[in-house]
Amino acid sequence: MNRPAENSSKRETVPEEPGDEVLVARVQQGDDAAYDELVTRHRGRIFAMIRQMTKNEADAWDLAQETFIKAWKALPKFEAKARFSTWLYRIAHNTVYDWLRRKRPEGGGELNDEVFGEARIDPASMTTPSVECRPDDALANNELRRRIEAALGELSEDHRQAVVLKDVHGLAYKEIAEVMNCSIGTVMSRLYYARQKLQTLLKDEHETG
Amino acid sequence: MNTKPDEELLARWLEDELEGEQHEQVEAWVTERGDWVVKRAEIRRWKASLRELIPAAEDLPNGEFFNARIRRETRTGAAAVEPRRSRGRWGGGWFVPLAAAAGLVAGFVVGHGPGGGVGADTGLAPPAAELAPVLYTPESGVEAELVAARGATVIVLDGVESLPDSWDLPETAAVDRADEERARTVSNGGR
Repeated sequence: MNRPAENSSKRETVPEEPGDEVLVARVQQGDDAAYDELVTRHRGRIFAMIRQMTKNEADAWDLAQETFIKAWKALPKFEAKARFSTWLYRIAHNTVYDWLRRKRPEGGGELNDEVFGEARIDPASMTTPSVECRPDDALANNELRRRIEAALGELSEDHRQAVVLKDVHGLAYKEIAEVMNCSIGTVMSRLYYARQKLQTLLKDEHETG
Repeated sequence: MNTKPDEELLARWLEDELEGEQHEQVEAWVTERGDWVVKRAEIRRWKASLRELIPAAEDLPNGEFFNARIRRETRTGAAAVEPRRSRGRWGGGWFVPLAAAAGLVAGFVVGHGPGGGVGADTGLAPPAAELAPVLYTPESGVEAELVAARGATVIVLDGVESLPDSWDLPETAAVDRADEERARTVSNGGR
């Protein structure tokens, strides 16, 4: 039995949420509540990205705070040439890198592990790592997640950042280039190398574990 | 398209970034080159698996408090964002955090007089952040403040070394008698 069609004039419409550009314009005109809305909207992604880079929840929380405070201060100069989210990722990226540099012991560590890691990459391996998720096996998936996070931790910051932004957060090459302040070509080569290395690391662990 | 697309275009096609005419052009080229289609399928599978395991967005712990702190910073015109302080330069060991906590408790009592609450204008002593802690040995970089968030009042000690796991909380915190008297006077309405 069909229900009678609702009178369209009585149909309730859910107001659309304002886009980022609308909220940014409001903030620039002095609307603090609009910035609170932007924070709520983006904090989950920014926190996730920073945690994936720092591997520490408490530090990620602090750095995410720092990111949003810096963004608020810089918002008067934001010109909407890029998407607000991309711009925010860039501030987060810079905040994380500043923190990583302060943490790194004097003279220690390499930003780029290509120099020392190349010999380990199997040229015959596939370009892309492969992992098998099991939808009904939370325990196995937790273990897999641990392995992937450990493998990501083996990458240099630049390679880890490229993989996190592309493969986890889904940013386009052009956006990643803006976030990391480098050329698209550089992003491509970092991503290629990072995926190759992840494939090798995940394969090695599977074979020895 | 008979000519091989440039490297960047192919890379973007592999990542499903192309639209419209560019997408069609590359699709036409790869149609007879199955290895590229296989590569794209592998990349899609990898990303799908990865996103099942590592989310692009996470629930932030204490989200309400997170926003409240940002609101506070932006309303006060935000102090310069300081680089994260290096911790562990304390010579006082466990005693200094205890002293700071004691001083803060004393300040909280003084500022929380009858009928008042955090943020209430009671005409009483200024907030804890502005009171000099009683037993606290001044060390640069330590700040204490009260933050009111919905459903919670949070006391934040910033810049203090973490308490060691082996440290047992004493039953009472040492408080200077003069301040204890002052607190009692305030809670009695000045009588």
